[in-house]
Amino acid sequence: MKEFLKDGLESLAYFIYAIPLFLMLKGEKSKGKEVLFIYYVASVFFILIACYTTDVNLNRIIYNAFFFFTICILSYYFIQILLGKTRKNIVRTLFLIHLVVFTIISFKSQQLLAINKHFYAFTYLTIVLYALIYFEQVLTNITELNILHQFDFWLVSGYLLYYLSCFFIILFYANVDEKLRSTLWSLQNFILFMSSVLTLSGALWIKYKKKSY
Amino acid sequence: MDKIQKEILLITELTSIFIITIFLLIVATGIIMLVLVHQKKQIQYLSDKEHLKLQFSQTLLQSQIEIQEQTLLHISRELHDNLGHSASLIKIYLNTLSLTDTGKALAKIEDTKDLTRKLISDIKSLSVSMGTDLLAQGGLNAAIEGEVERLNKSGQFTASYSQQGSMPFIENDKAIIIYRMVQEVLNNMVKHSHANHISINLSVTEKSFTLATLDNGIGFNVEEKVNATGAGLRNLNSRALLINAQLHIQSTPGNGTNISITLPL
Repeated sequence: MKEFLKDGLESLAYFIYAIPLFLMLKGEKSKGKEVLFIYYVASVFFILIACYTTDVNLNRIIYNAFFFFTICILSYYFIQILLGKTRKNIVRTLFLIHLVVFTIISFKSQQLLAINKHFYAFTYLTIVLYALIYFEQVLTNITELNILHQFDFWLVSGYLLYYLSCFFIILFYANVDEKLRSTLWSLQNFILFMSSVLTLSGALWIKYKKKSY
Repeated sequence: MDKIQKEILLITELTSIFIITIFLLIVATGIIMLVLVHQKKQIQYLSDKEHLKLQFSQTLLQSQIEIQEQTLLHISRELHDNLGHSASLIKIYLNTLSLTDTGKALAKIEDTKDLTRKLISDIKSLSVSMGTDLLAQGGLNAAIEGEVERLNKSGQFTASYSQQGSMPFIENDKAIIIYRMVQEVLNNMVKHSHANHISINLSVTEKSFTLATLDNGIGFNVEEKVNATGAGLRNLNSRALLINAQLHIQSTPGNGTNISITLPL
């Protein structure tokens, strides 16, 4: 069970994330959601490789690259769903900073093989900021549509729960011993799993409500 | 030591899990509060929207009634001044027709025929120029042209209507309100401006449509009129706001008046 929580649960969570996106794409086409769907499907395979490989260096390289692609994909998604130049420009600026930081990491010797906790923490915090900007938008641009009937709300709520937790976890991750690190990682995966289940529940709720009408 | 270390690890693990669980509960509570705040704001938004809809319907109805009143007023004037006068003349001619003098009788019959033709023609053009019919059948363009024709017929003004670009599609409800605003502006010009020339200009761009009325009358102090207790300008303003149009009034004493209504497309 512990092994599954540490290694298998993450891929399962990404697989669960892909399901509501698939369901939503059946109803309406959306570039942001299409990209997210492809991202989650690809994540299932890459994380499986990273988790079950015995090569620690490969694991570190995959995770470093994965963090960068996560911020790329999520930045694109948030630019699609956010309204107004200011909000979009904030996302673009933060993404550019990530691009610069990742480029520096890539060129610095051995950095891609290290646990870049500050880079990860910055990525997590950036996504939390994206989520908060989205919630600010939701509160200032009221429409007739119930917030619980908006898939983006469920998705972003899941992101806020997961990435905010991860921000705090990752700050301690590199400084603790192996056993506690394993527990923290399992906890992180469990939160990811719960977020994906939350998103799937939201999508099913929306589909059910649409059919009722 | 090994046992103690294991216990310390277990306690640390449980503490981490506990802290993170509390933290997640706080975040979840925050999200639930966000949903509640959103729903409260949504109720307010829907209520405001309903209120605006009601206001719009009331203004629309009011505008339709006022157009009909204007039309009836116009008909009554035409009947009295023009048609009544022609009919009276016909009656006089027929009463004074003398069959003893054939030549004069034939001439009078010809004049009576001409008057009768004019009367029939005036009745026909009166029915064609009825405000709401023109708006419904010919659109805003035809309705404004009708107003210009009416002004010219009065003899007091020379009125002209020019267009830059073709009239865009405007929803019927908005067209009624714009037409009523134009009527209001023209009525004010007729009553107060002491002008002898009124021009109406329509200009259309990709983003907006502007209807401007200009007279060469005595003008007025716009600020004084806006702050005065009279409802005229306030009515115009509130109607403009209702259809998301902008109202611009430019006037100074002695320099005529320019009133424009701009509607974004």
